[in-house]
Amino acid sequence: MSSAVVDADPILQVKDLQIHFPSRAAGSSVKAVNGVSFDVHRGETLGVIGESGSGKTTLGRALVSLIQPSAGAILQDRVDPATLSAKALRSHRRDYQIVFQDPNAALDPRMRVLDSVMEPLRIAGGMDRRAMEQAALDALARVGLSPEHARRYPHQFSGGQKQRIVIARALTLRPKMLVCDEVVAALDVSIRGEILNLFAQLQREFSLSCVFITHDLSVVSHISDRIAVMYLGCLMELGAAEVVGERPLHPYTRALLSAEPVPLPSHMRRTTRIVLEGEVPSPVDPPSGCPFRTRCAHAVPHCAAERPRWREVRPSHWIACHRVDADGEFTN
Amino acid sequence: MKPATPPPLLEVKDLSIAFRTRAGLLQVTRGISFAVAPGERIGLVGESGCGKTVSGLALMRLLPAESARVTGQILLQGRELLGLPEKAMRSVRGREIAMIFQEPMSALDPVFTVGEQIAEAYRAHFPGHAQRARERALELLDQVGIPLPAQRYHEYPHQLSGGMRQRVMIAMALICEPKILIADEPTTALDVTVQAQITLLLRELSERTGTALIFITHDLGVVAETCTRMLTMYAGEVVEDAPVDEVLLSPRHPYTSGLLRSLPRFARRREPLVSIRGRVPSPDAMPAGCRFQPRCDHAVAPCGGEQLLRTTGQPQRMVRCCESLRLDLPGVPLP
Amino acid sequence: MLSGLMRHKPGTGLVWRRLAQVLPVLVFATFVAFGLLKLIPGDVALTLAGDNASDARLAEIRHIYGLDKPFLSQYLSWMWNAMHGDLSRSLLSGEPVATSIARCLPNTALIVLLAMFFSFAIGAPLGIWAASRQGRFVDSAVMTVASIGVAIPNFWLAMLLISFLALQMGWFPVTGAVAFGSDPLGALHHAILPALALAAGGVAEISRQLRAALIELLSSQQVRTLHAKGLSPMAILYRHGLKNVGVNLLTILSLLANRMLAATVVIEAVFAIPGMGSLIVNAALQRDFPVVQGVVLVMVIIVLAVNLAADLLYGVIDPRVK
Repeated sequence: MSSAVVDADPILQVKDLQIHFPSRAAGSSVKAVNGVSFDVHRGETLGVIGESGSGKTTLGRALVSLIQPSAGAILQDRVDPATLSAKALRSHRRDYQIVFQDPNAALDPRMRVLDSVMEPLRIAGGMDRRAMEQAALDALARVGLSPEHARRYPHQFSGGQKQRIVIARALTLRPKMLVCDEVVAALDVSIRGEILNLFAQLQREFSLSCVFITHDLSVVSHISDRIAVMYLGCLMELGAAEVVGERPLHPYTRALLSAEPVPLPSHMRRTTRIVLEGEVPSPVDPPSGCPFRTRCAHAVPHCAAERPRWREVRPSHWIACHRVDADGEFTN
Repeated sequence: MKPATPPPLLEVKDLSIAFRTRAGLLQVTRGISFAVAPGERIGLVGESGCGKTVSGLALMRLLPAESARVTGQILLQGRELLGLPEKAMRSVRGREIAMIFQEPMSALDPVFTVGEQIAEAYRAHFPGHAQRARERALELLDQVGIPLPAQRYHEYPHQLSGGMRQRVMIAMALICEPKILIADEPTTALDVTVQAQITLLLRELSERTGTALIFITHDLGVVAETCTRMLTMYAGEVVEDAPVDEVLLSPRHPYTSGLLRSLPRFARRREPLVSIRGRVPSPDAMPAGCRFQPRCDHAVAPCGGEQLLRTTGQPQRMVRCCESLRLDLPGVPLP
Repeated sequence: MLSGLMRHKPGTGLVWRRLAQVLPVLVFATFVAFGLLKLIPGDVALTLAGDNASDARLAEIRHIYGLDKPFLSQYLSWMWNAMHGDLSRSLLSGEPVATSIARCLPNTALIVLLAMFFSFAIGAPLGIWAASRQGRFVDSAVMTVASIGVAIPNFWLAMLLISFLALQMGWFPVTGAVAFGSDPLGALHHAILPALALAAGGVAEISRQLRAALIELLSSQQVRTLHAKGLSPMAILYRHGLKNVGVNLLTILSLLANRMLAATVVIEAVFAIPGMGSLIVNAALQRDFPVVQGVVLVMVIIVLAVNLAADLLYGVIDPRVK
C-alpha cells in the first residue's frame, strides 16, 4: 500500500460537471461529460479509465481549464477559475498542467529542447534568462536528460525521451497538479515502465497530485491510488485501486476487466469472459436512464426509467448502478 | 527425429528485406525463417521497428517493387511465391493469402458501400459471378457478426463504428476462403471491449474454417488468447519460436523474458516497473553478433559472434541465443 | 447515379443559404462596377450629343437620361428596375439590354462549354496517364506540356491558331460566330478555335491536379488494401482512383468554368465574336452604364449558379458530405 498522503483537503473538486458540444444537427449536442462529481485528494494519483466516447479526454482538458464547463463547476484548490479575471487566471492556471499523448505534436520541431522547456517560464515572466536556463536544465536533469541533450532538436530523440522532455517542460512551473492524458500509449511496451517510474518518482519529489487518464487497465491499476471508471460521459465507479482493479462492483468495470487480454498460459486464464455485445452508443443521443443499460447483461426496466444515483456503497467506494449492493450482488 | 507431421502450409526460409534509400541499402529484416501448419494460429510479436509488419507485407508481396529488395524463399504449399510473375501473384492475394490491417477507416474505400467492397473481393477472383458475389458478401457479413446484414450492405464506411469496420475487413479477407489470414495489429486501434470481440471472432473463424492465422501484434495478452505458437522478433530477426503456453512460463530468450516482466499487470502495485534498458538499434547501426547484446543483462563474450536460430532440444522450440541453455529466465509470475 | 442522387439529397438548407448569398453579392458587384465606371473620366453624354453640341444640349441630354442625378440615386433606380426585371436600354443604341444579352450570351456559352469539354477530354486522360507512369518519361513529358499550357497567354495561342489553322490551312473560319439555333454545325465550326485557345490553361490545370490527387491516393493505405484483395492495377486506378478524386475534379472544373467566363473577353476580341465579353468591353469603353450593369448582373448569377451546382454535386459524389 502506498504511503501517499491522502488528505481531507482536496486539490480539486468537480461538482456536477457537464460539458456539451454543439453537434452538426441543429438542436442536439454531443454530451461529452454528462454529470460528473468527484474530488482529487492532495498528493494522490487518480486514474481515470474509459473507452472511446467516455469523455475522459474532455474531462482532462476541463480540469486544467482548457475547456469551459457547460454546467457545474470545477474548483481548483477551492477556487473556481470561471470567477477569476483574465490576469488572475493566467497566474492561477500555472499550477494545473497537462501532458498529452503525442510528444511529436507537443514539441516545436524548430526549437531546441532547452528553449522548449524554458518557454513556460518565459511566458510566466519574472525571471532573468540565466535563472530560466538553470531552472530548465534542472528540470531536464530530473527527467534524466543531460545539458548536451538540451542543445539538440526534438527529432534527434526517441519517443520515450521526447515524452520526458514534455514532462520536464510541464514541471518547470512547479504545478500542484498534473493531468496525464494517455502519456504512454504511443510508447513501446518495454519502455513504458521507465516513464511510469519517472512519474512516480517526480510525484513524490514535487508533491504532485496527478490525474492519469488512460484506456489501459493494467497501467492504471499499477500506478493509481484510486481509479474512476467513465462510460459515455458518466462516472460508473470510483474507489481504491486494489478494489476497482481486481474486484470491481459495477457491471461495466467487470466487463472491462474481463475483456483485458491476459498473457497467461491457457490453463491459468480465467475461463469465463464477459463479452459485451454491441458498441458504445453515440454521445449525441445517450440511452435514457443508465447509459450502460444497452449493453448490460443485468439490465432491468428500471434502468431505463431512471439514471442511477452516484452512491457510496462502501466507505470511499462509489458506484452508479441500481442493482449492485456493497457485496457485489445483484438485488431488486 | 521429429515425428511425421503434415507438410507445412507456409514455409518461410531466410527472408531478408531491404529498402533502397538515398543513403544506400537499409536492411530491415534478416534471415526470417518459420513454418505455418494448416489451420495453425501463430503470433508474430515485437515492438516498433522489429520488422514484423514489413514481414507480413512481404508475404503478400505488397512491398513497393522499386524500393524493396526481398530475398529468401516463401513457399506456399511448396510453390515459391517470390519468383511468381505479378499476374499470378494477384490471383494468390485475397484468394490463398489474405491480409487485414490496423486502421480500418484508412484501409476501406470511403466512396463505395461496404457490401460492394466485400463483393468486389469475390469478383476479383471469380469474375462474372456478380450475383453469387452479393450472396457471399451477405453470408460473410452475417458470419462476422454484423447485425442486419442486408441493411449494412448499403452503408458506407464512415457510417460504421471502428469495430464494425474491422469486421467488414475480416469479411472482405475471408470471402474467397483463403488458406492463410495475416492480421496486422487488427485490434490496436480499437477499444478493449471491442478488441475482445474481434479476437474471439478471429479465433472462432479460424477454428471453424480451418484458415491459418498469422497475428502480428505487440500485445502479448492478445497472442496468449488467440494463438498456439509465438514468434518473437527483435531488430529484424526472429529470436524465439515456441508454443505460447511454454514460452510464457519459461522463455528462452532474454528479450522475451524482458518483455514479459515489463508488463504492468505483473508488477506489484506502486513498485517500480521493470523495463529493458537502452533502445532498439536503428537499422543502419546494428551491432555485430547478437543484436540484443547491448541491452542484455546476461551478455558474455561469445555474444559478439553470429547468433543462429537453433532448436533447444525441446520439441518445436527455437531460440537465437548462445547462452540460452545456461540461463534460467523468468517468465510470467505465477499467482 | 440516379439512386445515388436519391439517396444523398443534399441539405435543402444549403440551397436556401446560397440563394440568400446571391443578393448581397449581386449588389456588391454591380455597385462596384457602377462606381468604377463613374470614376473614370469620360462622358457618355458627349458621345450621344455629338461633337459640336452646345452646353445646353449636353445638359438636356444628361437630364433625359438621368445622368445629372446624384450617384447613389442613379444606382438605386437602376437596381429598382432590375429587381422588377427591367434591365433598361443601352444609352447609345437604344436596344433593350436584355435583348443584347440574349443575343450575345449563347455565343459565349458555346465557347466556354466547348472549352470545358476540351479541357476535360484532353486534360483528364493526360493526368491519369501521367499518374500511372509516375516518375517515368511520360510523367515528365506531360508535366512539361502542362507547364507550357499554363504559361502561354491565350490570346497569343489564339493568334497562332488563327494564323496556322485558319489562314494557312483554311480548316476553320477566322472570325465571327454563327447562332447555334439557326446553324448548329456552323456554330460549332466557328467556336472550335476560340475554345481551343481558351482550353490550353484548362488542360494544364486538370492534368496537373488530377495527377497529383491520383498519385497521393495510389500510395495510400486504402490502395494497399485493394492490392491485398488481388485487384488489378487497372481496376484500382479506374474504378477506385477516379471515384475518389471526383471531388477534386469537381472543384477544378467549377473554378475553371468561372475563370473561363472571365477569360472569354480576350478571346472574343481576337476572334471578333459578338459575345458577352465584347458586349461589356465596348459598353465600358463608351460608358454605356445600363449595358455594363446588365452584363455584370448576369455574369454574377451564372458564377453563383455554377458554384451552387458544384456544391450540390459534391454530396452525390462523396457520401461523406452531408
